[in-house]
Amino acid sequence: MEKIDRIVFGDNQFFGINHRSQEKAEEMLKRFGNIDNIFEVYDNAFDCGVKAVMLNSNERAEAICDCFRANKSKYGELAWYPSIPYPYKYANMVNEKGIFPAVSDVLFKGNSAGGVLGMIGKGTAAVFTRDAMRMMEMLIDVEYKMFRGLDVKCLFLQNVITDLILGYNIKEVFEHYCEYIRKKYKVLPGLITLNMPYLKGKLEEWGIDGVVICSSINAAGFNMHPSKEEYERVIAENDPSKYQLMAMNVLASGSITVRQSFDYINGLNLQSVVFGASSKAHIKSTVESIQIKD
Amino acid sequence: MDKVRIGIIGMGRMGITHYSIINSNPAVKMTAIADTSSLMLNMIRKYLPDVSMFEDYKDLLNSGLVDAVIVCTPSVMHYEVCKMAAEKGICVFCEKPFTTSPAQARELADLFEQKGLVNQVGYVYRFDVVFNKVKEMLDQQLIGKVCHVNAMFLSSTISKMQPEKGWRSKRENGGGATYEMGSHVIDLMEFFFGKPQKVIGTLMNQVYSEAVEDISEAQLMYEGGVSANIHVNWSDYTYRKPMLKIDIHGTKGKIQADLYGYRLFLREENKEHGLPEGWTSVPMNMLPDPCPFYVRGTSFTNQLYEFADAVLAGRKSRGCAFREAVDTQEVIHTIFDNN
Repeated sequence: MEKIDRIVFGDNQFFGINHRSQEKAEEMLKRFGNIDNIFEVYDNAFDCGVKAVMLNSNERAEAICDCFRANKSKYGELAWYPSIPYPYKYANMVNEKGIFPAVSDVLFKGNSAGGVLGMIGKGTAAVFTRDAMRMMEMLIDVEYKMFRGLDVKCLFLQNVITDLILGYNIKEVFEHYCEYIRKKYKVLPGLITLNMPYLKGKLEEWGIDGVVICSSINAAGFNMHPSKEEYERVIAENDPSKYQLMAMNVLASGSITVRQSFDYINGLNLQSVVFGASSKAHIKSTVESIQIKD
Repeated sequence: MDKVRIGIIGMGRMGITHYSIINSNPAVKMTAIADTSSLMLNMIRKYLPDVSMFEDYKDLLNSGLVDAVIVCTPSVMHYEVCKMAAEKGICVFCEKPFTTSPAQARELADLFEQKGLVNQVGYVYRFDVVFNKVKEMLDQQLIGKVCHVNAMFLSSTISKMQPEKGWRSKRENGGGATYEMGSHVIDLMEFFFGKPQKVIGTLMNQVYSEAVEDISEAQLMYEGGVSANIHVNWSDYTYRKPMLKIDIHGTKGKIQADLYGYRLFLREENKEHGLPEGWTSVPMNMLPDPCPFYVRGTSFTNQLYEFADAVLAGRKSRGCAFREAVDTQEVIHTIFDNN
């Protein structure tokens, strides 16, 4: 399996995601409503040595991707780790319309660009009734379009979806997802989860490997289910040639210091850390603190 | 029984989530699904070969395949589904709002108590880590005698004019801000203070909806002189995520809590609990919140695991019992009747 980048720059700070304070989240949303402010942070991150970014396919990601594409000479070397889908979009649509009309809307409305005619050719009703896997492929294609022309290394499924599907205990879905990503897009399949030990156990049981698993890992034990101890056991036993592990939420939404955080993280058998920050000083100190073994 | 056999009735958004959560529980065997959509059943049938699919919930309840069911139908159907489940000796976890009339709620509570069947309503905030901590602090009487509560639930659920579609847009089906959000707040108050003695000062108003209310308010009086203001608004477009906030004012201090954490103010140091005079702030990520399998928040998992555990052990659930949900239903209908 191709090696993933040790340090990946995340995007939560740009989209008002803060697990600790809604006020802080709103302040960030306001600041980063202006795309120039987003690129100022990216430029700072690249100055500090960051060479990889994670970006969720939310409603603002398209404009950000456009900007990266338009400045390919400046940002050419960047490795991309997109995550799909943007869960809120689906949650709201499903609430309003019901599941099948919502999926149908995503697939067949507002998608006139980029080969959607071909998708329609695959057939709506048939997709729903006979082939859930085809439906999944089409949803991936719709979400992936936004990242066309960028140097994608790994495509992640958001934890809301990964964990929802994981609970159903259906091998075929994970098998098919990983195969599709590898074959069609020639990138590494990635799964974001808040249940890493459970997910990894299932993947092993199903004989699915060559997967990047991204999960909350922090000294505070925040969002590590079922327990921090279980994570530590699974991480210690992991074979990185089968599963590369990426830590997210390493600062536990600010409940521990950078020092505490990396004293912990650097001692674990991890392949990568994704983090987000918005000040140059903070980015610099975090990048310097990440000393996981390569 | 060594495993609880569970079925789900209604595979909408809640049913889909609940299936994922409870199927992760090693003490549970999922045996049946009922949904009126053949499209849904056909799609999942292939991937869940050990689960029986039914288009009619009655066939599921008659199948002998389940010890317990999770009911996620439109609220207006809860009564008939729960009633038949009780007749068949099947334990029930029922989504909220419990029913669409207090009389129905009372009848179901009586029925399940008579039959000794485990019963629980999906008032999920009882399992929230912050509000559990609030309950604990109230039980410890950290803020002395409680005088007044201000509770608010705000969201941007309905932020544009609503075409009248779907069961949520009709009150008689269980739609509207009072059922959807007010019920959660009223239940949390039941969790903290028990049944209210009086419901006064109610109002409802509309912003975007035509057939249901977008804003709802009530003032409640509890035993011991506790008064409470409840305000819900699901058309507050300034909230990207729903915000549930509660301020509790007592003689010795105050608690301010929301889904992100709590702040405790004490007029004097509390040596017994090691708490200083003045403010103590605790964000939710500092509170231990163990959860065996996370899908949509720890509280969703913990409420369903509690239900399964109660069924397996043949004991009462720690969640909201049908009997308590009757009180909430009565408050909701007083708000409706007064407006």
